[in-house]
Amino acid sequence: MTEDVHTNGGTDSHETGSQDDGGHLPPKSSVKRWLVTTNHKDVGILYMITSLFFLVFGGILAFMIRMQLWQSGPFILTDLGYNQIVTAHGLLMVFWFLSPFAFGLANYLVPLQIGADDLAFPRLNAVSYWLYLFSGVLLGISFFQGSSLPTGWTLYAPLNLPAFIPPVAELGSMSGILALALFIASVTIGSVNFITTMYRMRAEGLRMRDIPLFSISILLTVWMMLFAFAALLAALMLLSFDHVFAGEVGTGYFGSEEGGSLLWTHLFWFFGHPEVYIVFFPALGVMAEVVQTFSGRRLVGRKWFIIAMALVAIQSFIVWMHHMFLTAINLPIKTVIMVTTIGISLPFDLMVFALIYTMIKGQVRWKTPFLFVLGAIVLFIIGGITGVFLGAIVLDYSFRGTYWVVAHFHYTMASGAVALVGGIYYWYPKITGKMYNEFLGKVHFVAAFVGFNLLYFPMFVVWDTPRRWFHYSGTVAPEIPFTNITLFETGFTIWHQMATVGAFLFGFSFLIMFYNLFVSLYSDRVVDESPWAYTGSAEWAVSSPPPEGNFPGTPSFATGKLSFLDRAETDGGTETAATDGGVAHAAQSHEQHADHTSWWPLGMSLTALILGLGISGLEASYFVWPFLFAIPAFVAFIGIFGARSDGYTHLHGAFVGAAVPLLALFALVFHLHHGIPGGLAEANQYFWISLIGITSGLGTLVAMGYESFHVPTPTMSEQWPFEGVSNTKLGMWVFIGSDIILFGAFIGSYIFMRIRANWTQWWDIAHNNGLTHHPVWPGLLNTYLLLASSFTVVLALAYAKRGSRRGTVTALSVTFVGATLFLLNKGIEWVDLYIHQGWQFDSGPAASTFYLTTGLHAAHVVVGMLIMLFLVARAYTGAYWSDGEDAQTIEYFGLYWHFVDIVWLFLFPLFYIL
Amino acid sequence: MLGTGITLSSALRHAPVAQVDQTQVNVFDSLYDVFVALGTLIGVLVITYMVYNAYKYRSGGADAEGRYDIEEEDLEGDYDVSRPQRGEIPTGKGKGGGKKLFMSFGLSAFLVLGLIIYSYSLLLAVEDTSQNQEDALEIEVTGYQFGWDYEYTGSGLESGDYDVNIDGVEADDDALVVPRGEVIQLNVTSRDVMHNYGIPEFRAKTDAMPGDYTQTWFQPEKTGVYRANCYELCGQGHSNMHGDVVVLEPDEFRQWYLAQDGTSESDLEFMESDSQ
Repeated sequence: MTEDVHTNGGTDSHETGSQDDGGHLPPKSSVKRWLVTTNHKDVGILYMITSLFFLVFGGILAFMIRMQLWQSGPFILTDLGYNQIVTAHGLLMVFWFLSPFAFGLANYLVPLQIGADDLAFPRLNAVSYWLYLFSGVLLGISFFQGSSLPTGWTLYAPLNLPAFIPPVAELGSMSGILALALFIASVTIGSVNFITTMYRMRAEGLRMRDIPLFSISILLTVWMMLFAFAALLAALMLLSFDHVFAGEVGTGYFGSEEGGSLLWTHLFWFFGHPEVYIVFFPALGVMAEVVQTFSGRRLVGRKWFIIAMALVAIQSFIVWMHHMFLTAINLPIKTVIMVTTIGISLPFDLMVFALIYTMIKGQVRWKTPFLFVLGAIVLFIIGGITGVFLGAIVLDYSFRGTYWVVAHFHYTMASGAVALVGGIYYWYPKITGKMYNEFLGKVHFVAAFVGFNLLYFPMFVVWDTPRRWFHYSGTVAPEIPFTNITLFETGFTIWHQMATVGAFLFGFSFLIMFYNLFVSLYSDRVVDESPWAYTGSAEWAVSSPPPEGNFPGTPSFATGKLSFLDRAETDGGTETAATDGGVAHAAQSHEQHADHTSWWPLGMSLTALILGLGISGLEASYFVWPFLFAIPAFVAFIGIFGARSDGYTHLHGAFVGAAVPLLALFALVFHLHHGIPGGLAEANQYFWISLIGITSGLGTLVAMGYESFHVPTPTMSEQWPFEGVSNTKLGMWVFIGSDIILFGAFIGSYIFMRIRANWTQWWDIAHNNGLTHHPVWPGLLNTYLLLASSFTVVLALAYAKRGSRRGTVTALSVTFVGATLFLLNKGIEWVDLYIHQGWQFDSGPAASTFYLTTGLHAAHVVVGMLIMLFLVARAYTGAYWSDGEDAQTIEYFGLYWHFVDIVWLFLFPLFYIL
Repeated sequence: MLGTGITLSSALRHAPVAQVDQTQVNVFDSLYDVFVALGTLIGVLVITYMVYNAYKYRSGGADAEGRYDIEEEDLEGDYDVSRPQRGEIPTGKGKGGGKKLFMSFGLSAFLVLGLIIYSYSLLLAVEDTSQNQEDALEIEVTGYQFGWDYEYTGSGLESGDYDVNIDGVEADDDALVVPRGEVIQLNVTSRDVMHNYGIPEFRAKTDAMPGDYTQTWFQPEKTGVYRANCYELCGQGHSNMHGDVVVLEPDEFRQWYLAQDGTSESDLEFMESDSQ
């Protein structure tokens, strides 16, 4: 162990002699363990259990839908109630069940499969989990704020705006939007984590192309997640802006006359189509693993299977408009999209055939996991074929908005879910060390398979039912193709009733699973390493459940087979415990170096929930205040936590001292704006909730930054193609990748609206909307300021490497001052535009795009400044530059800062010159 | 990419196959039949083939006997395929299957492409009629929460200005009234949220988006009263958002139309050219 990685700029000042209890995990029977754990296997189990909870939640909503459809017309739900439940069912199942269910498995298995001790950033992994849980809680809370989102899971504009959302649903809608945003934060952190882990922490000798199929599927999934969810985040930020500042028709983004409705469909489906594969890919990985094991044959055409998946992952970003064939897009574009859509369906053909051919000449054992996967393939074939119907545009015209679509995507989505359930049965013995009850497993499969088809096949028969209607009517009389022979003629009702019966059968079949999995925990069917014949990947070579540190020694494939090397001597590479499947031989000395617990992921995510709840009801005139008031608190926190952690210095005192005048300054401005105490008395409770949320949130961030948390970087691992890049640096690059998409979506929306409004007359329109004068020079000045501050960040790194405390602190401080001047200049400009000229957030498309896009950039600057305050405090007490310290943290921050500058180089011409 | 689209759409548009004189209903029905027949056939074949093989090569292998810790055994007289081994590099030494895989892939690709090209030619026919029709009754449809407004483009006759009191017809006053046998051209938009205008009987459907116009058309072949539904969630009344579409014999239509204020014979010229 030569090198420690400090996530989030965590310090190592406590390194010596402070191996407090924080570093060690309490036993599994202790509740505390599950609150503080950062172990990937624990987090995986938390993910799986939580996602099953959301499955039950979404499932109960599905029961309510099917109850309502028992007969046409009002039954158990009101119109608003039905719309809410349709929306929440979709959101819960897609976001809060399917993906996290897969990521529970991924958390547990990916490090085991690639031979890593844990994920690259274990603490961030715990943050991902807790943010996921609390985002779901926020969605749940939205039901109690009057009404949840009633817009359908696609949130089509402008129905998603306050102008069209009933007043009773306004708070809940905002909560729903913020819940999605929190979920995306979780997903983005998780994607960065998995990508870094898989590129940098593979066992020696394991090339990228060698990693097991489930892990490959997860790798492709996180790449898609990284980019797709950034686009959704952009859409949700624009939507939140509309909700708070520009809810009237004809203003903001999605209510605008510049194609707001079409803009939403573009942004949403740019995310939404990759999302389909994001949800399905992990299931494909499970299918491949299970078919291999239970056919006792290596996957036929493994290479082509992987290439096909990679092609789909890339192509998934250029097919989104097939969800929009009936919107105002033109024929040439439709044609291109039709071609790419067909193109993306063909790799799936290949994958299905590869799975089928693997069974041939196999040793096929029809155990529960295999049954589920076989069932999933059947469902996928049906879903796929009915999807080809939709690819034919003429048929799509008629299927649009009908139950054909509902049935088709439930076949594909549930195919994924069913395969993942197969995965649960497959890995259950590995995770628990006990075997499930085979008979009950098979009963579950039969009930689920019959129930599912009874639920969804009738929907193909009565596909003419409009989607999200419960007033259905009509008769159905299917004919034998090419003849006029009618098979039968009935009304719609009987088919919908069949579906309802199927829904209950399908739903209740999961009770069998819950019972089986729970009771089996206490059975005596103890499993050793692998209960299955013909398992291949590394997770089956360790005991069940795997030891805390995953492997009995450093795993290596260098000899062409998995072997475990002595931990103590891995630097020398001496081989002690050879052969596959060896159980713990070597000492687990590495355990003592790594930290496995932290309270802060839970704490920070909880504050995010509080903040989200607060923002849901925050009024426009109070919007900035909680955030402004939290900044002095942040400065004080750095002083206090820093003094506790690094020992008191004058700088810490100065930080605490500076917080007071800063707070006084903000209070004065608040007083001029709202009046104290009147303004505070008038503020609603959401103002106070927001204030508590953001203040404590920044506090937990500072605490996390100062927490000592060590993650050993493996010294012998396969790191192609990123051998020369440290984990944190790679993580930063990957994060910036998703940030590029975020800004890209903002800029894309601006270009879209400007083209729609008439590119050359953009500013004339703005002048009609109240803008009198829009000078270029503030933007130009800011360009110079930012470029100069980029230069000083480089200086800071150079001084840190040279070991100069004064140089490091000064260069960082100058950067901070540069950023402050940037914001001051911008503030003066905004005050002139907004207050003096009266060109406000909702004064037409030029105003909305200008304020929001440059505002997003300014928010990035502010975040950078907050980080700089932390860096300055740390550098002052010796971090980054003194002996044994690591200057790279400044380099990682520099990457972010340069990125923020480069973005400005795009924004300046777009919003000032053109 | 857009170039490909333009080339492809214009090349095929002038191909003879595209010149089909059909209504949307005919196009849909014939295409749907082909897809259902082929889809069922392929689905049944592939699923049967898979289940048959999974059954044929079933095995009472080691883990099937209730033991929970097993050793792999070398099976005698085993097939010449590579079996996974614990602890191997997962890539293993894959054997065979590639050729067969690509054959079946090629076959299915051929089928899908054939289907799509066939359906694409029909799409062009549908789009052509939608865009290049001169002898058509043009109507502007505006969706609102929760109903449809119509305006006869020729005369400016609007919903609310007319009533639908016609002998033998039971329909609401905000119904659309059209003649049988003519091409009805719809320009659809919305004045509030996004809707989707669809008449299932005539397989006409298009999005109604605020600020945008989309086109669709239909050619009713029988008289009667039909329904125009909303196919996009548009608020609390969505589930019940539908209007009537009344199809009259051409003479009846002419009579009804001319009885309304502000209409004239010249609006109905489209009916002259191809009246039988």
